[in-house]
Amino acid sequence: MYTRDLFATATESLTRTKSRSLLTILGIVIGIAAVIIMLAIGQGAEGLILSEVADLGSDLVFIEPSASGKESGPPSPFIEQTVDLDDANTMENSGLFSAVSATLYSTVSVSSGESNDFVQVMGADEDYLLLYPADLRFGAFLDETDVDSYANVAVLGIEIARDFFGDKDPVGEKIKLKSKTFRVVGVLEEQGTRFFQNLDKQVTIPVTTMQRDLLGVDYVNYISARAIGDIEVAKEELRYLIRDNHDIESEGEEEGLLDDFFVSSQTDATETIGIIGSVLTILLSSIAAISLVVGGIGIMNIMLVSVTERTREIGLRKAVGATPKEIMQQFLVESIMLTMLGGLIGVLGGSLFSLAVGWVVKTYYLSTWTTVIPPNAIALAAIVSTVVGLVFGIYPARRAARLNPIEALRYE
Amino acid sequence: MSNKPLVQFVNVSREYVNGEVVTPALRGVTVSIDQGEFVAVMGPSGSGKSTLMHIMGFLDTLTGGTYLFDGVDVSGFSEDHLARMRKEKVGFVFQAFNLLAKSTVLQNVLMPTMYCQISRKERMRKAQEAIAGVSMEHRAGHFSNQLSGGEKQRVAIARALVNNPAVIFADEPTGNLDTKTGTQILELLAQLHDDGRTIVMVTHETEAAHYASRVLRLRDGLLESDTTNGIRQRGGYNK
Repeated sequence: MYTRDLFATATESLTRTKSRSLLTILGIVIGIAAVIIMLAIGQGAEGLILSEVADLGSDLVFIEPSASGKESGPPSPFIEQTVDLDDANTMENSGLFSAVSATLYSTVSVSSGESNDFVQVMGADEDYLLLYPADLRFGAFLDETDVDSYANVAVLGIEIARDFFGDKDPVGEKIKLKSKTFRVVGVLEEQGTRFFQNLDKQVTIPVTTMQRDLLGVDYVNYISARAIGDIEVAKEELRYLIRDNHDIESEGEEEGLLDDFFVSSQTDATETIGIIGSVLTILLSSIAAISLVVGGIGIMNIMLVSVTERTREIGLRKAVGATPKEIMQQFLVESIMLTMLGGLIGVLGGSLFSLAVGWVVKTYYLSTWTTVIPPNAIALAAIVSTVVGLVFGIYPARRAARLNPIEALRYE
Repeated sequence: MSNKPLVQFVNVSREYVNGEVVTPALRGVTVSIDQGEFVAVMGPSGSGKSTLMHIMGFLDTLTGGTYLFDGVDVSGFSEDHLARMRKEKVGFVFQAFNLLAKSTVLQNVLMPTMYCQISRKERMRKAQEAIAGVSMEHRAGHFSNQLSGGEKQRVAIARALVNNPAVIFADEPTGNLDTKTGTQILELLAQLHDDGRTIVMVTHETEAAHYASRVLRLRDGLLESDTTNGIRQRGGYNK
């Protein structure tokens, strides 16, 4: 039998049961579409984070508290807070860094006149903008005097400024954080989000004021610094400096085990994101594999029904001289065509859906979002759907090929 | 009419084994059918006439004896080899027509040619010729489920003819038809016989057997009688 005839015959019998064919491939369509959507969104998110990391530069070093010298995740009240401004001063004086900035976060109530809200307040210092560059719409950022003198001054994110003062220049206006009054000294330009935090809804005050007057603490959440020379050397030097500061003695094999802080860099963050990405990919692949197996079983089921329904046709084809191999080919081609069609619809549907989701996210949430339809995912979908058709089509096709022609012709 | 033996059974037997039970369907049948004969196979149900036709038509295999087709011993042929014999040497006409319901007359007649490696053009020519041979040209584009019983059987005959087989096997070809259309189908088979075709027809109707030149009667898996029908005349043969 010519391949062309094989496909023509398969198309004919599949179109004879159009709605059933379409319902049969739904499992494959959903499976493939899910893979495309998840990969597209996953890659979009990963790309976004990586580009933000890249924007900040690869020479950033962070130090944060940790129970065991290992990374401990986001700032948490359950971790003993061991990093303080003394550490920041040590870093500044070390000559290893061009800029050092200690940062402390909290969510507090903010009010001005009639308006009030809960916002994230960040305690920072004058070096902050050297590490995380941003432009000012009005006024100025915090300066050294503000930090040293525990000044009650605040720099607003653009959204907060609009919420409280409209479009006018709010420099010199007063706001209340908790019950303390702060004078507005500047407004930052629109910054959007960084690592999924809306910077435009943030209030920045001197870290010293935040420690003493707002929270009554002596620690900071983390310190960021920009290394001057080789970043790995800077990290290693920094560990010794901080151990010295914290009176931690550890040498040889025990080195690092007693550390109550953790030093990391942007490079580490990039690696971590890469690992998260791979884990996600494995997870998504497993889900996709399960849905494709389920879809494949659906195909097998319907092909078995089809073989039973067409028993007489199979008998007839055998009677006119079709070999078992030719019968098998015919049914295999039918199941492969079904799954390939499912894969095609899945890729198209998944891509359209991803583009739509991307558009919504870009328009309403994150303007820096880009949707990527990964071309290797499309190739993978095509291969996988063909393989599913082949694997789950073999059993029904073999059954058809093995039918006894006399019994098949008598089948009622 | 030539006297070259086409189908030769020498002491052919066929047993069906179902667990412990052995059912003999043919118990040593020796018969020879020449090229150009029109043979009716008769007998009560269970006499083995269908088994005889299935073995002759390469749909079934024998368990004892020898089957020579055109002088070649086919007794030990493999499944694929038997499929090739069916494709090249024989055509089947069934009681239940067995047409593909949602396909046209042309598609039905083209179907057996798909398993032959011949060009599309040549296949189309063969199919159209076969359809013309049974006077169904005017219905070529119709779906088979739009046809009457007699028309369906004509299409089935065209399908059996399309690969120009050496023998046509007809299994109760008038069994699902009324007398009038049944007669038309028998006339058609008789006409094919006149054109030189070899036909083996299983039937239990004596009237149908009148159209054949020779009648084989089976009983309990044995050949009971083998008679010739005399001179051909309108409506069949003289006894």
